[in-house]
Amino acid sequence: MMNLTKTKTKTKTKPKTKTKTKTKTDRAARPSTSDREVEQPTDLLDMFDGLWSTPVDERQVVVRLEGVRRNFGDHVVLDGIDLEVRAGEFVSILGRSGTGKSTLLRALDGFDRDVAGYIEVPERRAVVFQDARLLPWARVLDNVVLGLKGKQERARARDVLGEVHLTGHEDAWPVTLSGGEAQRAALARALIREPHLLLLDEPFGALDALTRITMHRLLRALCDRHNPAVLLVTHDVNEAITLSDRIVVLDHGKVIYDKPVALPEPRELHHEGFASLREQLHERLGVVLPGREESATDGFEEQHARTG
Amino acid sequence: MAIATTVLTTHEPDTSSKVGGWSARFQFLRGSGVRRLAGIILAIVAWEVLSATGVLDPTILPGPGAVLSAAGHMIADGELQTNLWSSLQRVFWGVLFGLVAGVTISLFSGLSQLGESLVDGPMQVVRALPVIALQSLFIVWFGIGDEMKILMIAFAVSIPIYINTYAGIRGVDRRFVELAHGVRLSRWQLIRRVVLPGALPNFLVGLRYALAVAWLVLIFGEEVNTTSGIGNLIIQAGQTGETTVIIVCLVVYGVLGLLSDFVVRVLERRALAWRRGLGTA
Repeated sequence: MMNLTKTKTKTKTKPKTKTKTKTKTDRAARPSTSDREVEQPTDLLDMFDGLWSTPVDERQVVVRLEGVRRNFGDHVVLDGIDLEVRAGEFVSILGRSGTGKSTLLRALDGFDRDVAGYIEVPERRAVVFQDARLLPWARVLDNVVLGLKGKQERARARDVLGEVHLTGHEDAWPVTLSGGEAQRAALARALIREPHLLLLDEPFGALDALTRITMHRLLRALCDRHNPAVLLVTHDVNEAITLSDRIVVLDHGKVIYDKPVALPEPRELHHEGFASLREQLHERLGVVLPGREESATDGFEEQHARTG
Repeated sequence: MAIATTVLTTHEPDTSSKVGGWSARFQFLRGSGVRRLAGIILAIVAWEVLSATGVLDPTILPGPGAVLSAAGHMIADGELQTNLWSSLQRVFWGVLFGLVAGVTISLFSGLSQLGESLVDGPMQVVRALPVIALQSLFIVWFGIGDEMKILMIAFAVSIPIYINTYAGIRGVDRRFVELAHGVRLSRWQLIRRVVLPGALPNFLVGLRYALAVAWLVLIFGEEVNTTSGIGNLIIQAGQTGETTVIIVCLVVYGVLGLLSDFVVRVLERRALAWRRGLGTA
């Protein structure tokens, strides 16, 4: 395992609220953080779920958030977030609109300087946004190497474009790419930086269902190969279950659920555990389903299961 | 009952013109050019007919034939070329200085908060002034020589360049700035890779305005104590009542205007190829 210690940065912001020591004590007063559920488990199965899926994880903690707060005026968006992510771990953050998911991601990228609390992230990190955000006036290869210099980087960019199946599109203008292709180029731009933390802000939200399935598989393959810690912000419960090692649910700026996904790979939508976990998460997200199997998403999910 | 259908096309797709070749690249000029030319030719024919039949008094508006022969004489004794050359030089320097000034100021006020508060307010006031009204002031400041003419053109050019480039810089998508932060671009890289290319379309719009206004101001400048230039020719011809010479000069102005517009359009095609995905194959 690579030693990441040197590449870590401490983003200490706004001493106005609490000092680091203070938050530390706060944290110590609380129960274990690695597999925490803020609400009491509702049934026995929930409790066992947690027990079974927590083998001692010795991978280095590369993301550490303690008491992270962010407010826009009187509106509190992040209300004391504690979170740890280990090297190579794939964590999805679920939450309804306006629950602070994207704000959290921007804080982790260091773009938002008005966040209070303790944030520690790897130095090498990369973001993929919902829109591919390719510079329209730069060709695909130039977009991938944006900010990097040298012939070698261009050669590496060709390799990475190959990994995302975009060989032959190096000299294309972004406007000529399809949504999926553009998003793959954006992935390539992130991967060439060999991030220890990959931040994904609803990267597949704007793609059609079939492209999304392809992208899920590609992302899994790429993560297995490059092994960054991943934080995926998404609305899509199925996506979160399919892809992640762990799922975190945000609500009103607080973590209300944080548990590993204890399902075998590959994750099948029709799998019993999949369905029950989905229901559990829907409940946390405040989704009210009229009847168990009569939800409007069923048609899509069946197709999803067959093709996926 | 049968449903009526219609055949929309029976052609094979046209593959004769090579993508990226010269003809394809300038295809945008073809159709519109021919149609425009047809309109102009029609107008000239009507003009000739009206002159030949005596409807138009030659002292008020001489016919195309008379204008053409006058142009021939002016070219033969070198009068047109020398005057055109001095006019072109004035416009060239005026546009060059105006461009440099406009772009520099817009970078200063577009890229920094300080620059914006220092420069943008005054520039918005200045833009409201009609350039022509400043001529007297320019004469007092810079005399009646070429400096005055060139500086007036430069001044007039710098304003549309500034207004548009500044708007372009300020209008660069915030999301790209966030991206630039994400990939750790330096400030210079941000300007070079994101801000300048992002502002380029607006700059080119400004350039088109600037060239149009440059020719306009040239006429006014050349009407003051000038011994050379197209404007000078017009003034002299006006005093002696040589309508044909005036018309020749007007035609020259028109052609120059069209030419400069053409140059900017070609420039736009090249610089903004990314908008239409040209030159990808």
